[in-house]
Amino acid sequence: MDVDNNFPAAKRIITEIQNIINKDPKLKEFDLIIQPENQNKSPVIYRDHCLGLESWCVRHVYKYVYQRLITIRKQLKRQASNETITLLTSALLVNPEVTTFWNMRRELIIDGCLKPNDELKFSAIVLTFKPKCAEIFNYRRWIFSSISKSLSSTDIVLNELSVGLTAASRYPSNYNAWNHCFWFVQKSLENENFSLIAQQWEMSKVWCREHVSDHSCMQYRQRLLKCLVADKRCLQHLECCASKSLLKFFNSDERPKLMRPSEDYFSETIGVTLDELYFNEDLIVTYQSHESLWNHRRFLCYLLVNIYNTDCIKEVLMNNEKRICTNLLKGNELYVKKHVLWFQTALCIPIKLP
Amino acid sequence: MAMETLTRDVPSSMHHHNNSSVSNMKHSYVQLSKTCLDEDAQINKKLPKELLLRIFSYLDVVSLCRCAQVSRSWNVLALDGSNWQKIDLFDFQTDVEGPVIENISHRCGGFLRQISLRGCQSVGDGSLKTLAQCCNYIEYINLNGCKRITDSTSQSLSQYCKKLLSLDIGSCSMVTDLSLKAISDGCPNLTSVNISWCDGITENGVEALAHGCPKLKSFISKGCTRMTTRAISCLAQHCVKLELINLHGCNNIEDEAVIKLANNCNSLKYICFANCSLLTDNCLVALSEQCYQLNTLEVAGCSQFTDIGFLALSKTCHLLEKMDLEECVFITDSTLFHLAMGCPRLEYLSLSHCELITDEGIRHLSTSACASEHLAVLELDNCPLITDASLDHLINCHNLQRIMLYDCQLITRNGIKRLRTHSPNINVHAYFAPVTPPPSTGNSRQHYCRCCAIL
Repeated sequence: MDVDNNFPAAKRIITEIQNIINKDPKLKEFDLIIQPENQNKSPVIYRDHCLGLESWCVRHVYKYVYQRLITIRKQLKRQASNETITLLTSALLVNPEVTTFWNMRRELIIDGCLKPNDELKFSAIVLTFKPKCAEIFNYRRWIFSSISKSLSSTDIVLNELSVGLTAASRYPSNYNAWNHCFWFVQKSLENENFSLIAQQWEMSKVWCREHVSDHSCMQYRQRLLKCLVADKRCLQHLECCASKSLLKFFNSDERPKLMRPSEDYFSETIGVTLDELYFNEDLIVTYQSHESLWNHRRFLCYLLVNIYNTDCIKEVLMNNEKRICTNLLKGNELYVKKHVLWFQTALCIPIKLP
Repeated sequence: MAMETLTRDVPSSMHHHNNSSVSNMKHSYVQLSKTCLDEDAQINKKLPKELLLRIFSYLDVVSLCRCAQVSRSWNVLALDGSNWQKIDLFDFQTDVEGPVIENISHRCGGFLRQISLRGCQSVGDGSLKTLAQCCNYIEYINLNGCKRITDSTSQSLSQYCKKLLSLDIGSCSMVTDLSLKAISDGCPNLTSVNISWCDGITENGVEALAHGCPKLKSFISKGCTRMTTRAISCLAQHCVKLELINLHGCNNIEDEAVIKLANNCNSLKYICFANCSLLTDNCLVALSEQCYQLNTLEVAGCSQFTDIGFLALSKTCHLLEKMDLEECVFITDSTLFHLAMGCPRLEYLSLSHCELITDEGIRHLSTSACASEHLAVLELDNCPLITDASLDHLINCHNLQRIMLYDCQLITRNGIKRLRTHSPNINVHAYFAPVTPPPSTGNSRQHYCRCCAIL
């Protein structure tokens, strides 16, 4: 009651927000609008399917919803009411990092007061404001796993992946977003849907090219690559120029020495990794001094040596890395030296720099 | 716990005193358990059953169910039908399922007068049929939000509960005209009905109701978009005792319906026509000519109403206490002037979105009879012409408790401050953030790191 009297407008503001969210299924964005000056005007701004809240009121509104929600939570009897939903909506828009509030929404879903589809929309809007918030991603995954929505429908999965991608673009090093994507890739692999991983492999390549200093996406690619290498069926849908990379990597005279009975599988897995290695080289040459690229490269080399641990591969890899390090020494001295040192210590491959 | 007791068919038999007679049991324990036997318990010795029953009759559902678990004789007494004349299961809406209702019906039988199952969504036709069959004397039944019920429930009610006075089937979306027909056939004494948000109900159902239940006093049909002028006219013609009518959102209603209502139902006290946007001043004029008892008028969103209508109304309806004129966009200060003159009992007045209202209108209002004694709530949000001068006038309203000023851009913090100094208990609603309490501003220095503080 005390908060109510202190700032009675809070109730009106949160109701307004809830109404907008209920009425507009196409709502796409929420953000705070910096407006320290306070007039007698509604701080809720809604235009072109975007929702804004003026910053002066955030503190007071949050104080109100927080206190109300905690009171409601402390009541032994859980009663789902529209008031709770309205309070939760505003609380989570402003501060999505409170797991308790998300849990309250989970309970409301279980009780049938909230529809899972609407919740996916709502949490997507919250993501536009805090794209890195792990609680939101958890909540979305929970909706899928517990409401037992069939993940087999590719539309749903593709939508989730695009949500993850949008979040990743909005905030650098957004590992949470890529984790979210990978979770769905894993789920689709469990359902024996192998086309998705190939599609993600291509998509993230484009993304990496546009965000060379963001290691989060490369880490996502590393995880994808591990899956690709581990299961032959994943490679089916991959359009790759593996043979070209193979030829480029191994000189023709060395090739026969490498051949083994399981030659097809070998060349494909190695081929994908090599593809990535050459792609990485391109980026390193084009964009100088990005540590993330070198980190990624080290992973690729490590993987290569581990898939097929022969002296031959080590030798070819050594020559290849020597060539690159020599070419790039100017301008990347720090990273090249680190790279050489790592080769020496981790893989026991000596690279001699001129 | 309470629900478990209700679901149980037979009182649980008490086995423990049989066990106490085991041979090697100590003497004292046998004595102790003996005193716990129903017949020997002090309270049962001192109080005759009639008195116990009387005491139980004052208890609520939860306490009764607790008492029912004390002993076998208390179980019989607590669950006696006479204690269960009025039942409200709203607090247990998620727990209430078919068997609960069936047990209640068997226990209560003819005793049951009032039952509210508001929001009990899992209750279906079958259990309500049992209820109607067992409890023929139900007078008041509230089934608001029991979404699973269909016309079959209304048919059972009409068949077995002839004494029904009040029926609430709001938000029961599967209900159709057939329900109202059944009710009109079987429950001629009905005085109050609520069919809000029942999309399936059309004018045919309401006409049947009007014919069959002439004693109707209260008719609520919010959000029934298929309600027509003909239906309301028919209602007006047959149910002349109507005192309360709520047609919120029945946007097909035209003047003719209201004029019929005004002509026939002179004892109307409460009227809500919110969002009936086809209505014009003719309605208000007709009401002012016949319905002098009117005390509540809610006409939010009736945007065709003008000063002329309210002028007529304020000349005759002197008992008006509550008026909601939100979004009656054509009304001006003149309406306020007349209301100030003609409605001395006005307690609640909403003028939200009435954009032509100015300080002058508020001045009239604040100098009137209603202002100084009655006016408690005044809503002025989105009245862009209102300035601080209005607030200064309102200082005269001694009873004012709440005033809404959202989006009145000419209102300033200082104006509100002045009003508050004169009447500190008033609750002013505006978008102004509360003044930050001193501690946060006072301590802000300390948040700087040490080097900044030194500088």
